[in-house]
Amino acid sequence: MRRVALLISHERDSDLAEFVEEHYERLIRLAALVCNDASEAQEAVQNGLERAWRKRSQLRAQESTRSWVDRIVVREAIRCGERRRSWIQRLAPRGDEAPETVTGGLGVAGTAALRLAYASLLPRHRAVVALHHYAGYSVAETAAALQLPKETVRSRLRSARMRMREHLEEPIG
Amino acid sequence: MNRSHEDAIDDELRAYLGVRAEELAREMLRMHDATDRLARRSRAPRDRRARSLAMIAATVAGAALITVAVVGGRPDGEDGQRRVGSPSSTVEAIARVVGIYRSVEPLRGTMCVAVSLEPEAATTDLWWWGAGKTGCDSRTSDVIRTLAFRDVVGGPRGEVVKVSYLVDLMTGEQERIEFTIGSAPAGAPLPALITDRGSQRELVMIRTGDVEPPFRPVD
Repeated sequence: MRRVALLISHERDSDLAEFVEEHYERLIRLAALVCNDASEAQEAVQNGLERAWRKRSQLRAQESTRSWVDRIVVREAIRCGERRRSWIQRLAPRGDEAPETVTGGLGVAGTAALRLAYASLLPRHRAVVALHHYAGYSVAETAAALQLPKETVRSRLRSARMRMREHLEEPIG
Repeated sequence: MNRSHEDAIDDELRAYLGVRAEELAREMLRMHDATDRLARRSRAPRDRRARSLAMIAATVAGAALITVAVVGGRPDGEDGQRRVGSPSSTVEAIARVVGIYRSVEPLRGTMCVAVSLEPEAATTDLWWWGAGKTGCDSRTSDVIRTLAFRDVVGGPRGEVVKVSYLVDLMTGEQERIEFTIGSAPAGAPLPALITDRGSQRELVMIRTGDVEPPFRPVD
């Protein structure tokens, strides 16, 4: 019995390691969207993966590794504003020296408006937006990942859309 | 908000999230590079002194170059016209509006903008933030800095200064944002016209030393 459990555990370890190898960059992007900050995202992913590794025995057989790890990392990322950056991260350039990219039909001012609208969302609202609109989770999956009622997810998506509309709707001219 | 309008906003949001995720990932790579450089520096204490000396020498040389550029670029400098390559009236107009100017009122919804006007810089900064409780002298969001490549400086007879910024698009194209700024006495508010994708908006811009106004959320 113990031998079987050990085997399952080894399998789980290797599955998790494989998953991290394959999904690390996606997790970084997902956490970065929630934190809206590159350095904090990295810390969130590190902490999240460490937590996932410690709790790997809790990963149920019927649960997908992807939604389980995503949930842990996103929850960690929601706390990003609360963490203080280390001195070395504060010394490192924040990357705002590069030219900004602009999304398709919006123009520079429109993209800046969208950035502001997105930056003004709380991390827990960005988590819903990032999981649903970026990671492609359905409302039900987003609700399950964040352990929220579906109506709360819908309401956060609506409120994010309203915020975008406020910033985007008024034309320059 | 009807369904198609909601879908349109969601589409813009999805496109933005894709671009933003890549931007943040690139930023992380740059941070890794910088961190590696810092780590290498701390691992080589014997090299540090030599590097510090080189840095001091470079700083002194840089300061000398900057001084030459500023003196050379001044409108009353002996060769100011030649350096800028524009009519002298334009040079004077530019000289009067050197510095950072911000919009008094938001220009799109709640968005405020500030622009750095420097006479000879090839690149410049644009800053954006969400207007706070008291307007553009306060904010409700982080300040976003956009580096832009300036490609046109000049204007007819020094009455107006037109500054055009090019920003690279993901598609490989470039987007142009243009400020047409009227001249005014030093320190006075400037009338400006901002053009972005064919839309225009008149603004009043005032000189500011701080592009990070106090955070004052709207009630």
